Amino acid sequence: MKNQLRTKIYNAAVLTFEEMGFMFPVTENEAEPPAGAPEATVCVQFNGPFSGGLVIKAYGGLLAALAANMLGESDTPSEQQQLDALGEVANVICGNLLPSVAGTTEVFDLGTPSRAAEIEFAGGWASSTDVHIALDQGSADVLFYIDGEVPALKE
Amino acid sequence: MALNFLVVDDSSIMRSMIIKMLRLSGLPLGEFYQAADGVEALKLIDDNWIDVALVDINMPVMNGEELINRVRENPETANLPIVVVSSEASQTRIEILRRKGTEFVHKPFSPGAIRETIIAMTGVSDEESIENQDIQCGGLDF
Repeated sequence: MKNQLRTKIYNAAVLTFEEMGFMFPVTENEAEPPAGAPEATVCVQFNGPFSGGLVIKAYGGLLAALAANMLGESDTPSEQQQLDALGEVANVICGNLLPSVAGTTEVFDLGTPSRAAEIEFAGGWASSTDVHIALDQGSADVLFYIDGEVPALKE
Repeated sequence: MALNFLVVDDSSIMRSMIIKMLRLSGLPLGEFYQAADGVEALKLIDDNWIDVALVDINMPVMNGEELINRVRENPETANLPIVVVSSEASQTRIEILRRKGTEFVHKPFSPGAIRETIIAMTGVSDEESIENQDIQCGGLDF
């Protein structure tokens, strides 16, 4: 079941990076996460039939490139714009992922994306699944936390 | 007929992206107005002629659903075409929004998706939009 969930997370993330950020995966499957601290970490929390959060960590120039691509500007976006862009991507990935996990009739409330440090999540939710995606402009860790057991996945 | 658009989203980068997509859509464009929440949006709707509102759902102060309710309750604005632009994918919630007379564009979206939805809602003819023009973005055809 965990592998199915990883595939769903990977697919939702790749679709979002492609269509919102014009960024494309450089490998067909998950990549190894890079060493070192991320450029930024953002989180979107959700409540509904089950609660949890989706976290994205940006590496290797992803943060600035994503905002520049979304804005369509050659100038370097401000730090706030960069975090805003990553937060929006987290929001869209989470919004697309939840129905594929819980079914399309379930209703979830998504919170506002916020900057986050990993330590805040370390013990907060019972189970987590993460994937690493190498993109043509940086890379990202996408972590999906659920408060409780991973639910039976819907097709 | 050039269309005046109101883009309502608490994310400034998302508002910029939606406006970029509208510019790429080939639709006849008038003025763009921007609001970060429902309260700002209602003021802009009061003060300006808006042809189409593109509205996010999850926003602080006043969310998109309440904004839609307020617009529909006011006889002067009840028929304003509203496109919900959201990452929401629950069919239950989408159906509730559709019953309020809105259309829905799912994030992530393409200029083509916005164009088709707005043409269907406003009745602006295809001839008025930049028809048969190859619209490209990042090497991708739309």
